[in-house]
Amino acid sequence: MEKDFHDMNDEEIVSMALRDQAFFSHIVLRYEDKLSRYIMRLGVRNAEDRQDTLQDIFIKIYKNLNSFDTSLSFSSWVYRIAHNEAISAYRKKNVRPEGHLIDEGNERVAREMSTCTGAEKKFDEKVNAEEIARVLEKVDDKYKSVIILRFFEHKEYEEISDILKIPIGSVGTLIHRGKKQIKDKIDTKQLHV
Amino acid sequence: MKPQIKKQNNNHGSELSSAVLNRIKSEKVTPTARFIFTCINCMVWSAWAFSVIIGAISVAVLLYVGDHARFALYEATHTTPLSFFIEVLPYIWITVFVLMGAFAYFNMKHTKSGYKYPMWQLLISSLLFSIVGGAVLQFFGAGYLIDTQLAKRMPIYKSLEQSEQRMWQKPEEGRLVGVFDTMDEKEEVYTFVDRSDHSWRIQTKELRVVDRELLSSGNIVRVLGTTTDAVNRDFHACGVFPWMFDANVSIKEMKKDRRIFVERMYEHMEKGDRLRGLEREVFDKNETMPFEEGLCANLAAVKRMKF
Repeated sequence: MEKDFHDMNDEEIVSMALRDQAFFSHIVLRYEDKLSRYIMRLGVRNAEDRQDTLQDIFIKIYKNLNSFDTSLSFSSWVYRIAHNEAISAYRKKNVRPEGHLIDEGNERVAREMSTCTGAEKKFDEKVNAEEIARVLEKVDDKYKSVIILRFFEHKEYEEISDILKIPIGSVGTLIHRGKKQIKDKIDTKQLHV
Repeated sequence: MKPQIKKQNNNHGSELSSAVLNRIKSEKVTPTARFIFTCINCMVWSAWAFSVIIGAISVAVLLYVGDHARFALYEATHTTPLSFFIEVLPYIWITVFVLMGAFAYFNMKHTKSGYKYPMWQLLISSLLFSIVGGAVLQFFGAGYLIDTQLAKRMPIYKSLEQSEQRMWQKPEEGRLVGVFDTMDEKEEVYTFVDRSDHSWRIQTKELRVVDRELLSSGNIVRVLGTTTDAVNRDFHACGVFPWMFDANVSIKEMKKDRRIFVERMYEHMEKGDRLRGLEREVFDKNETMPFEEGLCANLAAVKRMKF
């Protein structure tokens, strides 16, 4: 019986890749677009830098395949490595992100941010995607990562907790504070206008 | 039958997957062996266990000091309970406990699932292990053993017994630590050898029978009184107290220790008041009292109890 890799879950491909490195390319194919978008949002904007960082990420994933903890989802583990590598690459280059952080699905993101907590209606009404894009670049790094993972990568709290290695409670707090900071920055901007 | 899957043909894969596979081949990258990760994980847990054990040892010594420091007699050596606490607190063990708590937290945070728990949970669980472990160790007398053995092997380390001795072997302040040697025919003057190997003549007129019995028991004792002649080493005793408690001391014994000390000091206080009244009635104001009794009423400890 022949089984296509599309039908296999990550864990099965990992165990195959451990036996034959050629199978690792399936992992690369499965995650390269997602990780490319993610690290770009984290600040690795230059296409060449992004390619280099992605290579480093996948090499690191391959090297550490045996440390993959099956109690986590493989996706969370991959994002964790990507996050750490992207942050290191960003720090190495010391490049501030330029241009729009959100380059696709802006409206959808804005909608999600505004519907996430019904309590912040005032915030929801004022939020528009472009503003978020501009303001998010000025949000503190500690909030930026959770906001990106939650609203751009659509990760659950538990997954964010696993990726950033912080307690779930802290994820909720950071998202709440991040949203508040975005709202404050939008309000300040509107006042000045 | 095991599922067969197609290997990725690099020609059909992305540029990135080709580049990654090429790098894996050219740099001869191989996955790090599983046992290395297992070893790292074991090392983190071992470091955590180490810090918890050292923390437990510090708790055992802290409990021992808490049990055996003679808070009951603090007026004999200090003006306030606070100054007594400040002097007897085992700072080194408090520091060790705090450092080990932080180290245990750090290690637990770096275990596989340590990040899932908030700081206070990790910190409290580690400290709790140390506290429970320390209580168990102290139950078996480990606190005393560690304290005394460390003092024997490390001259820089001062045990509770040594610090108590430093506080009580002060004849100029009316405190002696030592052992009974001989007594005179009238059984009122005892010869006593202190911890500095000096022989003292102890006047026991103002001692109770139980104090005299304790003094002559041959055990190490604390004598509270006043030095009447520093050159000839004459000492007027006002109270005799056991040197250190046994390994396990109960709250009841500690309360009894305190009660005996307070009673003794109040007795001297009342006796002093009576004698002063008598002095005013019978003798001239400028004349000194023709008897030795009443010296104990002037003890610093008695005066401290008045306020």
